[in-house]
Formats: sequence, C-alpha cells, structure tokens
Amino acid sequence: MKKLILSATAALVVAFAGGAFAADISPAAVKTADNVCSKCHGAGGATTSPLFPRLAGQQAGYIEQELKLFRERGRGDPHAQAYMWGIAGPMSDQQIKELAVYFANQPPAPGQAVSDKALAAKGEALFQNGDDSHGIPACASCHGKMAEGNDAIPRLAGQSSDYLMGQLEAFRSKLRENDTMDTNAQSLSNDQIKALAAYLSSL
Amino acid sequence: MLHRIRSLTGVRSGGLATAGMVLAAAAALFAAPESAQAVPSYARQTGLACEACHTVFPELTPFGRQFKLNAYTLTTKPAVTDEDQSKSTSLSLADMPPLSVMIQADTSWSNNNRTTSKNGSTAQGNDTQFPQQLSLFYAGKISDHLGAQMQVTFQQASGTFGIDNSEIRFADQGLDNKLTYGLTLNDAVTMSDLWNSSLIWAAGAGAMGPGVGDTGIPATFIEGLGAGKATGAGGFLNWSSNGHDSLYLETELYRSSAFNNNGTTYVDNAWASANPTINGVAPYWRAAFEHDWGHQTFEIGTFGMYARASANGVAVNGEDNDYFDNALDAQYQYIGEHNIFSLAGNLIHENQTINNNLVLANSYSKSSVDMNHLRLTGSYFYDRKYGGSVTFNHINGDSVVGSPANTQYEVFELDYMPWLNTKLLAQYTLYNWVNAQNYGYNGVGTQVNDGNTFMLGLWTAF
Repeated sequence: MKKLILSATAALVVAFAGGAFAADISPAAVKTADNVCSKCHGAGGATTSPLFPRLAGQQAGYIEQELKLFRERGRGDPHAQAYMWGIAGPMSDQQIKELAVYFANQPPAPGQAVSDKALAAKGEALFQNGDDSHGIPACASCHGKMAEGNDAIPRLAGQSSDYLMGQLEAFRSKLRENDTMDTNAQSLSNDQIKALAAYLSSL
Repeated sequence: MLHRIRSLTGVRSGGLATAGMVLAAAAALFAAPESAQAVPSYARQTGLACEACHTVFPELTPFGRQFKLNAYTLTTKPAVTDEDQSKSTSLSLADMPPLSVMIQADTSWSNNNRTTSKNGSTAQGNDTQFPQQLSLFYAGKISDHLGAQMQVTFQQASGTFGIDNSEIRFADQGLDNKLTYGLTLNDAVTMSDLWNSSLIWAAGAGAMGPGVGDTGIPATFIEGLGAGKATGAGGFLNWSSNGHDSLYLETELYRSSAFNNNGTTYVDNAWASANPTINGVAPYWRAAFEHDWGHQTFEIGTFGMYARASANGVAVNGEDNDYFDNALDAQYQYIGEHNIFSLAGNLIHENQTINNNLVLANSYSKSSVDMNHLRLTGSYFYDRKYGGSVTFNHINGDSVVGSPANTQYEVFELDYMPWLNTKLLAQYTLYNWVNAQNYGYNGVGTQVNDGNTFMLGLWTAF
C-alpha cells in the first residue's frame, strides 16, 4: 500500500511538474515571438535562413544568458551588434525569462541534409573526441553527446551551419568574448570549423 | 513637338535622391509595462543600428529588404494597443511617432549656365544650395501589417514644397511563413521595389546630384514617373521556401496624378506641359529572383509598363502615343565584416508608337521609335566609412521621331561617412555626348562638354 501511494504520488508529482512546466509559457512571450522574433528566426524559432540562428528547442538557460548579454552589449560579434543589441535593448528580465522558456519548449527543427559526408564524419570525430595534438577538447564533454546542450551551454544540434561557422570564427578571433570558447576555438583550423558545422547542422 | 526631357533636378526631387534610409519603423516590440528608454539617435524608432538594414544608404541589405517587404512593421518600442473580441490587435499606435528629417546641401561648379525651374531663371555655372533639398518623413508602422513611408520635400531649385516618393503598404504571411503577400499604394513607379537596381532607389554615384543640373538629358517614359507624378495601386507576392532563394512578383495600375479632369486642371503645370501624362490607367509589372549565400546576394529581374500618354494628358485628334517600357535589372552585393562591394544596373528598352496625328502631320515617316537606357553602378565601402562609386549611363535610339537620343555620361564619387547617417561626397559628372552632340552646341545654346560638373555635397538624416 505504501509503495502504491508512493509511486502514485511520484506519478502525480511528475505529471504536475510536467504540466506546470508547459503551462509556464506566457501568452506575452508567444505574442512577442510571433510578432518580432519570428521575422528573422522563423515561426517557432525554426528558420531555414542562413542569416539567423535557429532558436527552436534551444536551452532556456543559454537564451536567457545571451539575451542579457545583448541587452548589456556584452556580446560583440557583428550581427549581434547590428541586430540584437537593438532588439534586446528594451527587454526586462521577466520578458527575457519568458522568451527563453518559450523557445526551449519549441520542437527542434530537423537537421539539414549533408552534402559532404566525409566532412561531416570528420566533424563528428572532432566533436566526440577532440584533437589532443592541438589542445582541442572534445566538444561533447560540455555540449553533450547528442549536442543537445545543458542549461547555459547551448544546443548545437541542427543549428544553421553558416551560423555555427560564423560563431566559431568569432570565438577564434575573440570578436565574441567567452573565456572558455575563445580558448577552445583558438587552435581550430578553417577545415575543422567547416567539418564541425557540417556535422552539427545535420543532427 | 513633344520632347521628353528630364531635368536632372526634377528627377532628383523625388526619385533618385530620396533616402532609403528611412529610419522608421522598427516598431515596438511589445506593450511592455516598463517604458523603453528614449534613444535620441538615428535608430530611435527601431532600436536597430543602420547597418542592420543598409550597407550604405540608400542601399539595402537582405534584412532591409525583408523589413520593407513586411510593410515596415517590425518594432521594438512600446505602443498604445487594443484587442478585439477575438484577441486580434485592433490598434497599435507607436508611443513615439517615427519621424525624421533629411537634408541635402551642395556647392557645384560647371562651365554651363544651368536653368532652374523655379521661374525659368538661369543659374550661374557655380551654384550653392543649402538646403538643396529638405525632407520630412513619416516612416514606420501604422498598425500590425500596415506601414508607410511618406515623404514631403522642399526643393530649392524649383522652390516647391510637396509630396515626394511615398508608399502605404500592407503585408501578411501565409503558408508557414514561406509566402509574404500584400498591397501597395504609392506615388512613384518602383517606389515599392526592394532592390537598388530599380528606378527610384538607384544607389551609387549620382543618387544625390547637384542642386541645379543640366537639362536636356533624354529619358524613357517610365523614368519620368517619380515623386508624385503618377499614383499606383496594386499587390505583391514573395515566395521563399528555403531562406536562400526568393521570388518576388508585383503588379500595379498607375494613373497620372499630374493633372485631373480631362487635363484641364493641372497639379503640376510645368511638368505636365513638357512631359507625356497617362491617359486612363497604365499597368506595371515586376518579377525578381534573389539568391542569398554566405556574405553574398544576387538578384535578377524585370519590370515594365505599358501606357497611352500625351502631352498635358490630352489626346490630339483623339490619339495618344503608346509607350511600352521593358527593363532588365540585376544587383550583386558582397557584405563582409569590413568590405562592402556592390554592383547594380538596369537596361530599359522603350518602344514608342506614335499615333498622334499632329506629329504625323509634320510628315515624319516613322511611326514608332525605340530608345534604350543602360545604367550601371559599382560601389565599394570600407567599414561603412570610406568609399566611392562609379555610375555609367548610356542612352541610344530616338526620343521622338527625328531626334536621336544618343547620350553617354559617367558620375564619379568619393564618400566619407563620419557617422552612419551622414555622408560627405565629392562628385564629378562627365558628359561624353548628349543628344548625339559630341562637342559643341546642343541646340539650346550650351556646349555639351562644358556641362561637366564638380560637386561637394552633404547628405544627412536624423
């Protein structure tokens, strides 16, 4: 009997938590996402444009962190500056949190077709195992085996390959300041960047 | 005899000079309870820096084209809003109206005396105008899905103040955001266009020219319909399934706004008496395909118009002339982190069928004439601060029966932009030949090569 009550309670808690989580998407965030964000990031954050990153299914912690960085002008890669400084400028902490929850709950867009399978395989090897000879750690150790991310560490799976390449280059040149990623990307060659992008965008 | 002429001043009063740098509208994001900081700068309405929408004004980036396509409605600023019973927005009024001012000023040197249209007076070869042009814009969101770019301009050369290139636009999306569709109401042919290979939005050297220019440059019919000379209503579609490629289609019907009531009352006497005006309605069409990849973008397309028109809008002996204008246009842009390079051009072919008995009565044997105008421009900018461009114009054919239109001239320009919204320019216009006159008098008492003009200019908006 105790066991039954315990598992029933557990089930209830899970159901409640699950339901509560989904119910946390605020209508205001939906409206903002539809009226503003979707113009560049696509409906539900699932754009196919090479110009803008996909947000659908992105880690809430990461979105919250980046929107605050845009708002404080702490992230300086050129497109961040040109577009997101202005967009995020007037946002409040509450709005940022709500948008992060909204996008985290959107179904991730399917990965993009791979034109160069050899390149993607190279990218997979680098992502899962790193490159000791050049001091590049395995990306999967932080970003997850499936590149799904975790809290403030972004999901990379299915992201636009143009965007991934641009950001890796921005980390490497320190145009985008992040202690961890600037170090990690320092030794990446152009070919390695292309390979990583090809692999990750296909997931 | 009907001459189609284009005063370089006249076209610029609306056409080429109006800044695509409409500040507007970056619409307010949401009805946020916190009031947004008022940002007293160029980007007050949008919150977006100029480089989001422009390479260097008036040229647009792909994002800028999307912004215009969607009726200037993207916003990050608060608005007074309301909803109806079905929860759709019934009002969205920006807290701060998206207004701005544009000023052009110049000083120029030319060996020719040039004529202003103010009172037919003759300006000195050297001329200074401050302002050459002063414009006020309302440019931004009116409500969800509806926006406008409205411009009124004072132009010193003609002494006039009136409506300039303006558009009210409606846009919405369908089919999972792959299709954008909408309507446009505007007062200039290609006002609603998204590319700088069009007529109104031609960028590059010569987009701003001297306040007093040379008259006598021949022009096709469609080039004359800028800045309030014709009113058009129509619709557009933009289809993009993959974010890399898009197809844009547009069609409109234009009526002449230079006159009304059977041509007996003139809104713009001077223009209507010298230029053919549309009788009835003239259909306009536009198709453009764009491909974006990496830092590069390429567009190729066509636009054109068919019109029946006569001087003063009054058919002579019941006959108008027919103008069939067809153009091919293309644009290429490389938008890098530091270097921006662009090429744009259009080739207009015009066939004019002369039905006007008055002209035929003067025993010209031809009953139709053809004219072509090729405009090519190339620009380079470094860090959106230093740059220059060259524009090449070549016109051939006949503007009217017996009147060869052969004209060729280049415009060279160096630009310095101390701020993103301010351009200082040094410009030289070089005429090779005008109306088939290589050197010497062109029939109106001026020497062609002496029309070469050097100009220093200021172009700013805030």
